[in-house]
Amino acid sequence: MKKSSLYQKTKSRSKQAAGRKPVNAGMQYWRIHFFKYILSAVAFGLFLRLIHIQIFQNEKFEAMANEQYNRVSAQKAPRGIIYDRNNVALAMNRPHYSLGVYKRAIKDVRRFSNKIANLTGVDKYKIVHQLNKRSKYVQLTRDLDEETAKIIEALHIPGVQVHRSLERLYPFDSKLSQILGFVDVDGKGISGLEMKFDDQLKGHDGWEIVQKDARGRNVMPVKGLTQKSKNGNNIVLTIHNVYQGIIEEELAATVAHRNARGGIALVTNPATGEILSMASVPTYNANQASKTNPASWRIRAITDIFEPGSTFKIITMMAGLENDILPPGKKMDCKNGQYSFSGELITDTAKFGELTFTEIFKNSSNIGTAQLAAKIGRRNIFKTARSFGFGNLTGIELPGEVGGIFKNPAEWSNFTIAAISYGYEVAVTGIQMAMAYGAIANGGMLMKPSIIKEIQTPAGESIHKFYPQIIRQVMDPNVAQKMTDILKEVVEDGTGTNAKIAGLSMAGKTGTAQKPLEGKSGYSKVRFIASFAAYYPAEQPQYLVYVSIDEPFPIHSGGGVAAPTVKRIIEKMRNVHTLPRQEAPQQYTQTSQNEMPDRLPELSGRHKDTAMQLLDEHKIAYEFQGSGQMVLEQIIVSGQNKPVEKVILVLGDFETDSKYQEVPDLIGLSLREAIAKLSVRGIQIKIIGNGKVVKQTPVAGEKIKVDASCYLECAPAQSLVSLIN
Amino acid sequence: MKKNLQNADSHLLLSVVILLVIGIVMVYSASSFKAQESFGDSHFFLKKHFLKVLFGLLLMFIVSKVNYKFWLSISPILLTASVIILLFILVSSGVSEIRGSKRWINLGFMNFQPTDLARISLILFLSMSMGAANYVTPKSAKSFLFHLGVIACVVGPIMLQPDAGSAMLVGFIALTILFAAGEKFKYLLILGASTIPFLALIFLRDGYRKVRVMNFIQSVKGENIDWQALQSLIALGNGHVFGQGLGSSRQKYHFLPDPFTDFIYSIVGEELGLFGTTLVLIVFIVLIWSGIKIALQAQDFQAKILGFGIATSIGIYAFTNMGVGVNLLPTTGVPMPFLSYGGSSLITNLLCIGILLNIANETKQSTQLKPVGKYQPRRRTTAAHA
Repeated sequence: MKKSSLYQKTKSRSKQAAGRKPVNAGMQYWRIHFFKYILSAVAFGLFLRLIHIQIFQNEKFEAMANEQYNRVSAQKAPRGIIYDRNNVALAMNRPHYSLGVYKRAIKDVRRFSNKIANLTGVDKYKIVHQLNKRSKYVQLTRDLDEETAKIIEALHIPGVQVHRSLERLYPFDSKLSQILGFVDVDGKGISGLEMKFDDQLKGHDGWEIVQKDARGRNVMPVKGLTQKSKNGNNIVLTIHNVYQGIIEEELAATVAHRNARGGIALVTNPATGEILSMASVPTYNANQASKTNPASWRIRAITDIFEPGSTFKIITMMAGLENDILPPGKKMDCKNGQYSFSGELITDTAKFGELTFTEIFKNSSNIGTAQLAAKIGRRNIFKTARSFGFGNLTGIELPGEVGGIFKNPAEWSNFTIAAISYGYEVAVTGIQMAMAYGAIANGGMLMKPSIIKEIQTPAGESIHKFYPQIIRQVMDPNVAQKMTDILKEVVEDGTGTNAKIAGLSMAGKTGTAQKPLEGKSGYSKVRFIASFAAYYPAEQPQYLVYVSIDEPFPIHSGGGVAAPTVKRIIEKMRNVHTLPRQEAPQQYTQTSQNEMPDRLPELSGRHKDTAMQLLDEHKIAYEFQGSGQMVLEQIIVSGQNKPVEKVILVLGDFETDSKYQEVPDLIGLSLREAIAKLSVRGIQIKIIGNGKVVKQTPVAGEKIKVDASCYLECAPAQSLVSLIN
Repeated sequence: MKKNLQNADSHLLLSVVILLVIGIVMVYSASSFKAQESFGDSHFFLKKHFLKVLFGLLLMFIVSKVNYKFWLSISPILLTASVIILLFILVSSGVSEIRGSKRWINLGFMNFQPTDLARISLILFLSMSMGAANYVTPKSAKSFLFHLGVIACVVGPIMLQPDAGSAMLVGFIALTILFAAGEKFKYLLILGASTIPFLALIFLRDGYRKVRVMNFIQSVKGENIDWQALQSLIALGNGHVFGQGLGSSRQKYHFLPDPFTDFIYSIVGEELGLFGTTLVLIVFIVLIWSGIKIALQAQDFQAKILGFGIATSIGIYAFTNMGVGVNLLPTTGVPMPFLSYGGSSLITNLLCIGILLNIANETKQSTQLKPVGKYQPRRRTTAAHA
C-alpha cells in the first residue's frame, strides 16, 4: 500500500513537472529499488527452500541417494574341488575370460574390429557381425586365454570389458564322468556327485555393495559393504584315480571288442565297502556334457538292474552251507544237463552227473543249484537274499540308486525258487552284487558302500570322514571261509579259469544270464549279460573286482567275456605301485565270533538312550563322543579277534545344539539396513535384486539357524518418487 | 559518492570474480568424469572453460573502456542483426541441434548462442529507447505498442527454436525494463490482463502443456517429480550443511544430467552443502545490489535503465536457474551466470559486466569533472524515435 501511494505521489508530481524538470532522486526511482527488493525477497525464498531441502529433507534424500548408488554385485563362490583318494583333482575350477564392449565407445568399427581380431584371433567379420547387433553391450568372444585377457585389460581400450569367471573343469574329461556328474551354466550341479553334494560344493556366494553410476558401471570411487564368498567344501573320494583309469580302459576295450551294448566295472575294498573305482560304458565327456546323450550320464552300476544269472548262486551256496544241505563227501545227481522242475526245463551248459557241493558251483550247474535251493526252502532262500541287501538300496552316496526287484515268497510261483537259485526272477544292481561278494570276502559282513572318503573345508579341515559302516553280519565267518574256498575252485579249475593269474589266489564266480525278451515272457537266446565277480588275495581280500558286460556277441559267457577282463584289470592293478596308505583299511579276521551279534542295529539318528539299550541287548561295548541326546554317527572299532569290539557313538543334537535366531522384519528397509540387522544376528544373507527389501524368506518372526541364509528379494525403487512425500 | 561508487564497482567485480572461481572449480569437479569418459582427458572441459573465462575477462576489460553510449548508439543495428540471426538459424541447417532445438551456431572455437546476443541487444535497445525520454515523461500508447512489437520480434523466434524457457525469460526481462523505465501501469496491466485468456487458451488446447503444468504443480507439492528435478533434489539434499566434499559428487556420474552446465548449482549443493549454495546466493545478491547501485548513481537515465537491465537480467537468470534446481520452477535450459560451463552465456554476461563497469567509470569521471548536483542529464534523441 505504501509503495502504491508513493507511486501516486510520484506520478502526480511528475504530471506537474510535465517532463521539463528532472524530478529529485530518492524515491523517484522506486521502480528500480522495488526490483532490488523483489530479487532479494526471491533470494530469501530460495534460501528457505534450500534450508528445507538441504537440512530438513537431508535424511530422505541421503537415503534415496544411497539407494540409487548402491548395487549388489554377486561374487560367485568357487566351487569345491573333488579329489580322488590320493588328492588328485577330478573336478576343479579354471578361470574363464570373456570379452565384451559398450558399442557407444567405438569410434571406427573397422579399426576396432581389426584390432580385436588381431589380439584375440577371432575372425574379424564375426566381430563386425556382433557389433551390428542392436544392444548397447555386445559380447565379442567367450573364450579368451588368460594371457590375452591380461594384455587386453592392460591396453584399456575404451568400452572394452574383460569378464573373469570360474568355469568347472574335469581334467580327465570322461573319466569317472557319470559319478562326478556336471554342472549347468550357472554352476549348479545337475548330475552325479555334483548334484548330490551341491550343497557342500557350492559354498556361499558373496556379494559386494558397490556404488555404480546411473549406467550401472563401477566407476564410483566410494567403497561399499561386502560379504566375502565362501568357497565350497572339497570332497575326497574313495576312488583311486589310477585304478579308475584301468577299469575304464579295460571295460571300454571289452565292450568294443565283444560288440557289447555297454557294461559296468567296479573295484571295491571288500573290508570297508569303499569304492575304489566304478565305471560305466557308454560314457561321456563331462566337459561337454550338454552335447552328449543323457543315456551315457547314468551310473549304470547303481541305476540299471538286470537278472544276474549264476553270480547270484552265492545265495543258495550260503544257505546250503549254513544248513549243511549237502555235506562234504556227498554228491547230488545233476541229471545229465536236463531237469524238469515244476513243469519247466532247467538245462546246464554241460552234461553233469553226480557232483559234490563244491563241484556244483565250480561248474555252475543250474540243475544242482536248483535242487539245493528246493531242499533249503523258500523262507531260507528269501531270508538269505534279503540279508545280502537284494531288493534294497545299498545307501551309496550317489544319486539315482535303485533297489532292484526281489519278490516276496508269497508272490513266488512254484518254479521261482529254482529260478532265483541261479539268478533269474530277481533283478539286481552291480553295486549290490559287489557288496554281496564283498561280504563273503570280508568274513560275512555286508558293508555299506561308500564313495566319499572325506569332506573338507576349503582350508583342508575335515568336516566329515568316512568310517566303514557295517550294515549287518550276513553269515558266520566260517561259512564265508567255506564259500571263499569254493569260489577259489571256480577260478582254479571251474568256469572262471580265464581269470586265473599265476601266483595269485583269487576267488570268483561267473555269471551268464539270458536277458528277458522284450514285450513277452521268456528269455532271449542271443542277448546275454556276462558277468564275473572276483576278489583277491583270497586269504585276506584287499580288492574286489566286478565286471558285467551287456549283450556281448558272439562270445557271451561270463567266463569267456567278463573273466578275462577282470584278469587284465587285476594284472594292471598289480603293476600299480602306490605308497602304502597310512590309514590301513580295517581288516576283519575270521576267527571266533561267539559274542558277535547277528544283526548290528543301525543307530544313527536314534535317541542316545535307545542306542544304549540296543547295544546292551547285543552286549556290545560302547563309548560316547561329544555331547547331546541324539546319535549322529556310529563308528565301529574292531579288535584283534572280533570285527566289532566296541562302538563309538558320536552324539549331538539335531535340533537344539545350534543357536536359533528370530528373523526381524526387514520389509521396506534399505539393503544396507537389512544387512546390518541380519549380520548382528549372524544370519547369512542372500540377495536377489536391488533396492528395498520387498520380500523376505523366512518371514519375520520365524526362527532360523545361525549360519543359515535369509533370502531378501529387493525391488528397485520406482518407489523413489512416491517416497518423496 | 565517489567512495560509494568505488565500493559498488569493486563489489561488483569481486562478486563476479568469486563466481568465476567457484565456477571453474565446480566445472572441473563436475566435468572431469565425463571428460575422461568421452575424451580420455579429465581436464578437457576445464581447459576450454578456463580459456573462455580468460577471453571473457579480456572482453570485459575492453568493453569497460568503451563508453556505454557507443553500445546504446549501435543497439538498433545489434538488435536488427540478432533478429536476423535468430530467423536465420530457424531456417538454416548449418546449426547444431541440441536435443531437438536449434540454438547454437558453431563458431569454430566455441558454440555461440544467438539468444545471448539477442538478450543483450534487446536490453541495450530498450534502455536506449525508453531512456531517451525522461523517466517522468508520459509514454504514449503508440510508443508502448512499438516496444511490445520490438520485444515480440526477439521473443518470437526464440520461442520457435523452440526454447520457451529462454523466450519467457527474455520477454520477462524486457517487461521489467519497460516497468522500471516508467511505462504506464495501465498499459502493463492491460498487457497482463490480455495474456490471461491467451494463456488459458493455450493451456486448455494444448494437452501436452497442460500435462506438463499439472505435473509441475504436483511436483512442487512433492509428488511425481520428474527425473532431472528429482536428481537435482537428491544432489542438494544429500549435500546437507557442508556437503560431501569438493570433488565427491556422485550425482555427476550420469545421475544428474548436465552436471556442469544447467545443474551446476545442484552439484555445488552436493559437494559444498548449504554453505556453498548460500554463498553463491549471497554473492549474487551482492552482484545485483552493487549493479543496481551503479545504475542508480549513473547521471544518465539511459545508463540507469541499462545498468538496471543488466543487473536484473543476471539476477533473473541466476534465480531461475536456482528455482529449477530446487524444483520450484519447471526444468528450463537456463545456465547459471558465471558458474555454468558454456561459453556464449559466460562471455555475454562478462560483456554486460564490462558495460556496468564502464557506467560506473563514466559516473565517477563526470562527478569528478563537475560539482555534485549541477550536472543535468541531457536528453538524447535517437534514430529509433525518428
